[in-house]
Amino acid sequence: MRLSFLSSALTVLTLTSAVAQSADRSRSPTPPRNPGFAAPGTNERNPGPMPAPHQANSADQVFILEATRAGHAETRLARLAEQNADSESVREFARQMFRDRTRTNDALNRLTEGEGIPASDRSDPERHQTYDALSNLSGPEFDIEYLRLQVQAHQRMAQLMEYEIGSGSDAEVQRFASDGLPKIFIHLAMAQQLLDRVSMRNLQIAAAPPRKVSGMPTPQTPRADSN
Amino acid sequence: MPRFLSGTACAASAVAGSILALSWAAFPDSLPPGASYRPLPTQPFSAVRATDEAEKPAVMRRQAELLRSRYDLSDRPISDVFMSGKRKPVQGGVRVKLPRDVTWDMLAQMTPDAIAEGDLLPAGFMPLPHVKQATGGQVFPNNQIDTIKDREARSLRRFDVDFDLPDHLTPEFPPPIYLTTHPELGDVSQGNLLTIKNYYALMVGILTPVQLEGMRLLLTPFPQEEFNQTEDRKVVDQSLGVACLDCHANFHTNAAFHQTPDVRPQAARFRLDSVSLRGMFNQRIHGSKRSLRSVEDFTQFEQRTAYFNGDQVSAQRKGVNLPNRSDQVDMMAQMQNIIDFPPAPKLDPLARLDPTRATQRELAGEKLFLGKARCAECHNPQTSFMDNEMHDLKLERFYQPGQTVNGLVMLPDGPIKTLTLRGIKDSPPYLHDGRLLTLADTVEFFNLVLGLRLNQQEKDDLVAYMLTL
Repeated sequence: MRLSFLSSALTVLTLTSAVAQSADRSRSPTPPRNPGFAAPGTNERNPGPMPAPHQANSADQVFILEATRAGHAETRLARLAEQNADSESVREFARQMFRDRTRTNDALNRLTEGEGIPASDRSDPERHQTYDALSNLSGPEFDIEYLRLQVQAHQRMAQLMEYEIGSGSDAEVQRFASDGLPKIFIHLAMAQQLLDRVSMRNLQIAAAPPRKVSGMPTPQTPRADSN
Repeated sequence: MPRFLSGTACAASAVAGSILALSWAAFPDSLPPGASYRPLPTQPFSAVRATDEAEKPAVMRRQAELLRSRYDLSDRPISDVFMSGKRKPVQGGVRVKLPRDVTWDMLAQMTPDAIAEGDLLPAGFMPLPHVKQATGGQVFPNNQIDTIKDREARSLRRFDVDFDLPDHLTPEFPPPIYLTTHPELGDVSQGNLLTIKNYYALMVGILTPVQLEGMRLLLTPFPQEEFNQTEDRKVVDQSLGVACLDCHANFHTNAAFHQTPDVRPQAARFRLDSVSLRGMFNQRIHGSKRSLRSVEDFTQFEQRTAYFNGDQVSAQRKGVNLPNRSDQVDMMAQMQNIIDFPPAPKLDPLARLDPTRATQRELAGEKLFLGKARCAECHNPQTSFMDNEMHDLKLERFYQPGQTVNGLVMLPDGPIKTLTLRGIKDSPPYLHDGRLLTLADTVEFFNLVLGLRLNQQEKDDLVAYMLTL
């Protein structure tokens, strides 16, 4: 039942962005914002006090920045996992992530160009560290750490998208977030289920404390007591 | 040493550590603080008001379209069935609209997966958005706004939103008040809405000093997120705030709604319909999500939660009320604990139908309630039609979570408190967010969620039974 739901969920996922089943879920204009939190100097549309479109506020900018960085990092990790993963199901999952992530990254790039929002290309040292650490692993340990990272990444992206939907002001960015969110939940469920399966097959590895590669990076230096 | 810290990595990590320390400021792995904490306003009040007022017609239109697409909103009372005050009829019939070419029987035959894949769950069963999700906050019905304005010269009218449900789908106003301490008197409201201006004259001689003081506090306005004296408000004039009974009118409900304080970020916060305070004395957990263990707890913390969205930081700026636990809170709780359910003359002392007073249909409904329909497994008659538990109905089996509707992301509801069914005909709409407009809607909802496969007669009998409670 689970696998058939997953495979049909994948079918749904490929169709999702194009299909509107009811008036309720059709493409509707961006929901209104609380104008109290609009960025200072927000331009007004003519006539009247309504804000002009394509006004990116700080929530939009934070979202774009994080989504871009996450997108690039995820693509790299997916590529790594395609090559290094121990089990075929994890490699297949990584291939799926690579395909979907590439598509999303392209859409995001088009969006940032179209909206004139600069997406940072500043290097992301935390994610580089994660990549390097992961590439030092192999076997089932790699699979488990990669899947743990995937679960965290998708949880984080879901919350970021919801933050954008609730607090952003640029209609196109919000549409990007609200269109992409269902897929994130599908991927999250896939990652969780796969992690469960791989963990059960490799209990000893799964039961060990999480590696530094998963979760918050711990500051190496300086230590708090050396201030 | 952890495996990944090889020799060369040690030196590199020392460098990386200093980079990490610098980039802490850019929340490397944390979500932005605005996702939990309310930001400070950036626009002057006059600009905010002008924008909100200009957008208001579109906001209301959008919500009205959503409601119309989900529900039949017509005025169709059940003949000869009135709420307890005998002034307002109870609405009947299933109002949730089905997808095209689908019947209730078809849905009942399908598996949850099939319904999810076909996108066939009626939209009216999905979470109901707030009228303006990004802003949220308490929204009052017009009857409450008009009465308070008239009696107290205090405005509860927001300039950014209005109440969205038609009046005939809400409770009677003002609701009757029944006291456990005076069952002989019946409704003691005298047809009035209790306010800070009239409660003493109405209630002295009926209530104790402790109860009178509790009532006074329950009727006193305190600053609230949208009704306060700062620039971050949604009412034209600086406001004294909101009183507890502004939503829980006459210790019942007027269907005022807000958003759950227990969820972030903003787009994930489900709508909350005001619950009736009748029968608090028998309830062990309070709050649809919070599971607070006493009404004292709830009373004490509600200023942090319904008033300020679970954000004590924002509350501190606008004027938080910290009622004294050993004195004020106790008195408020004691007042709340003497509010009785409305009379149910067909129920015997054990909350079972008296066969000498009930009709055949009502008795058939009770039999279903206790049996095939499985209602009593949570709505236990012995425990005031509750079980003092929270339950997760797992409605997400029937839809793909993640779609955004009017700014609210359709997420799984998670565990929600079992709410009482005593006096249930008096408090539409139903479910924690008010997504079910009539009792017939609730029967269809649970028929699907619990896989009961009830036929039409059985569904009608259940409604007939619930009208006696």
